[in-house]
Amino acid sequence: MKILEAQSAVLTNYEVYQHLTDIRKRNNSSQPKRRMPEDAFRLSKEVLEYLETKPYPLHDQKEKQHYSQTTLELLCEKLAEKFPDITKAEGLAIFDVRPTNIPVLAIIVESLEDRYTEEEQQQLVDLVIEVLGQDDPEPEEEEGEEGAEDGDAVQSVETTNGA
Amino acid sequence: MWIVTKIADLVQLKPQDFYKTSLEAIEDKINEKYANKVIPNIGLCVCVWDITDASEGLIGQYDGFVNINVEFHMVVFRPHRGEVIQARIKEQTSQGMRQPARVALVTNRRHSVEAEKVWLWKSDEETQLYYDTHEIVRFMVLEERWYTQPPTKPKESTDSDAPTKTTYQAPYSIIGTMAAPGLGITLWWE
Repeated sequence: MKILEAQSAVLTNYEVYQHLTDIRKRNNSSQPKRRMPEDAFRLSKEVLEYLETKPYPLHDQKEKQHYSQTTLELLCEKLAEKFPDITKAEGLAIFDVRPTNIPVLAIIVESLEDRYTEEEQQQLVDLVIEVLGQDDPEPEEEEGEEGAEDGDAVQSVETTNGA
Repeated sequence: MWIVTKIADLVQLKPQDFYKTSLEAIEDKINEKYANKVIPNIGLCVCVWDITDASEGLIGQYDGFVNINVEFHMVVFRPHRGEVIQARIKEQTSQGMRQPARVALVTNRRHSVEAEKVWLWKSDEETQLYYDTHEIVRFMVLEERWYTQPPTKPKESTDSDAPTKTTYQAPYSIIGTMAAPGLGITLWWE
């Protein structure tokens, strides 16, 4: 074993996620089904589970598809246009963590308050939400409504039965 | 959090692997050897990213193995200093309130991530926010520690079958902090 380059590139969470899901799809669709060696299989499963944990933005990737091949490019373009001081590492962290509020943004972008006014900070958050999307606000209420609807449905069924 | 490392290695394909295509066989062999292993000062290997170069296969005279020199890229878990990542609290040992508590976080089984935090959060003196086990937290990477397990002495036989204590130390641990606004349990910042 010889290390030729210790670090030849940096990957985003999305790229790793996509790579692992691609391998899985490819293996499942081949005839007969292939499987990675035991350790690699287990680790890749754990990594996928890890990346799909809330609040990582990839947790609803399967349903929402907020991220795609061009998203990183788009984010970089928009950042370069409006916030040219954001460094590459910060851009990468924004892409990975998707800060949708200012406190979270402040831990990713160094000395945020000195560099940007409050208005600009909000603009940055809005830009992130625009490009990378955000979680649905307060899903609990929706569940409550659904429950109510179900209840109504049951009631109406009962009444029709009674009639 | 993830980097790509370029590695050169000799891959030996056994005759029973010949039914696979060369690419699949080589990838499987590399994954078998590297996945879920820590390379000191590189990080935790996840899986092959791509294979950039492979030599002609040379068949060994005695064993029939095909020997191939391969250059490939490996996906490696290696958060850099100052990076903010999230993890689940696995266990925490504390001496009590207002004492710094050690929180061990685990993102997956083989590498444990440890962080130090202070119990009382300054912003509000009335409320005390607890770090519960299995809660998801965000933390900032401060430093990393590498540990290479030296070979242990063979056990001397004794009459009493005393269970020997095995001390396990993670080969790669990450020390982080949660002592800043925005860090800590993620639900606080939603």
